Amino acid sequence: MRLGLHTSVLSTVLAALGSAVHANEVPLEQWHLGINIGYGVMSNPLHGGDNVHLYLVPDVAYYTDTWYLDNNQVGYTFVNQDEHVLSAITEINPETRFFVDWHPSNVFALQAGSSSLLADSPARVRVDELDTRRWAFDAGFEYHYFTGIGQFQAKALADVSDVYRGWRAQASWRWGYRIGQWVLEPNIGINYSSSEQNDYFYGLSREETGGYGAIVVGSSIQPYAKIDVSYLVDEHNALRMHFGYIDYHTQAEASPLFKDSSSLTLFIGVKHLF
Amino acid sequence: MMSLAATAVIGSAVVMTAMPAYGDELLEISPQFCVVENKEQACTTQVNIRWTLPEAIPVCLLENNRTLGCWPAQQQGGWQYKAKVQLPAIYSLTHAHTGELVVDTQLELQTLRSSRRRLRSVWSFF
Repeated sequence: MRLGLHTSVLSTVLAALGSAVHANEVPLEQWHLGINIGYGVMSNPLHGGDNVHLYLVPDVAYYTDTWYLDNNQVGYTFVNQDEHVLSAITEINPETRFFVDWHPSNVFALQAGSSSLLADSPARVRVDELDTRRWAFDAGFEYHYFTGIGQFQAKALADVSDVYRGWRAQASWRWGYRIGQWVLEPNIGINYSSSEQNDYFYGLSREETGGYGAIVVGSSIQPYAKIDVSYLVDEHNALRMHFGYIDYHTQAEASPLFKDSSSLTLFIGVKHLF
Repeated sequence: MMSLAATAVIGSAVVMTAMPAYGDELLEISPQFCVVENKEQACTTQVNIRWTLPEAIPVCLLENNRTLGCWPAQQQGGWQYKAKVQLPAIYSLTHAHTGELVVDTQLELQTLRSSRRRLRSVWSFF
């Protein structure tokens, strides 16, 4: 196995020379294996849900001319032009992350618990007292449009694992800037969640409300903003900081599961590319 | 020569008989491959095409369904031109009157690209 050492950490960056984003280049048919080591946390906006602590964040990718594996996504690229890239994709639905017991010895979607207390207090419930929210796999299409000042990305996916039986979409814009050894990559976007997705993950069944009737959430959009900041140490190592914000205002208004209307992610550490 | 759909190397050319209607037909192209920087790029190259048929029939030569020329009944023929074509390009001989496929072959693609854009960030999941 050959590793893409020289495209490595710089791959995040070299494409961002000047003020333009040219997406990272990865060598074909070589594993890109990196690891982010440090400390971070993703806040869990749900009652009773664990914050997601981040100590090791692996970065795994493998690209061929058409197929690729990139962390939690597998794709097949139909169109790969200078400006336009269109791929069929499948990926793990991320919504279950708020329902997982992230203790290292117990990383699985939370199991069903008693919901008897809900009869006394249906307005606020805890994720560890609900039926399991299972991991779902989605499939769909993703489109990228690359320009000299940034890249636009849009994707739409539907549940193909018969878990929530809905769909979701995302549109985002990403910039990249390099200033000396510093690299900044801001990213803003919106997620769309169908009512089926929201009802499965953030709604409550009749059983979960203790007989009060199901609570539905309906469809929603979640604006988000992220920024990656890197300081290049050498071609294998970089200091990394990530900050992310996702707005769950619409879901929080409709679902008693939410204690916060947003989720924040912060990570500070180093990235090493093998 | 070839009675089944097959690929064989003759000299520098790949000969394919997709749906052999006549048998023993031969269509050769040179070069066999066209090297481009990426697969979306059109191939520009001088293409030499020769064919041999078991019997004299009128044929038309097509490049990706675009007719390059037609010839009266003859057993052998040839054509050369500067192609600018999106790959892979299929060259086919069809019967000039019936349009029936006689033989076809393909100009294949090789790319120089050794890398491509990465489409995701490690933070996409979070």
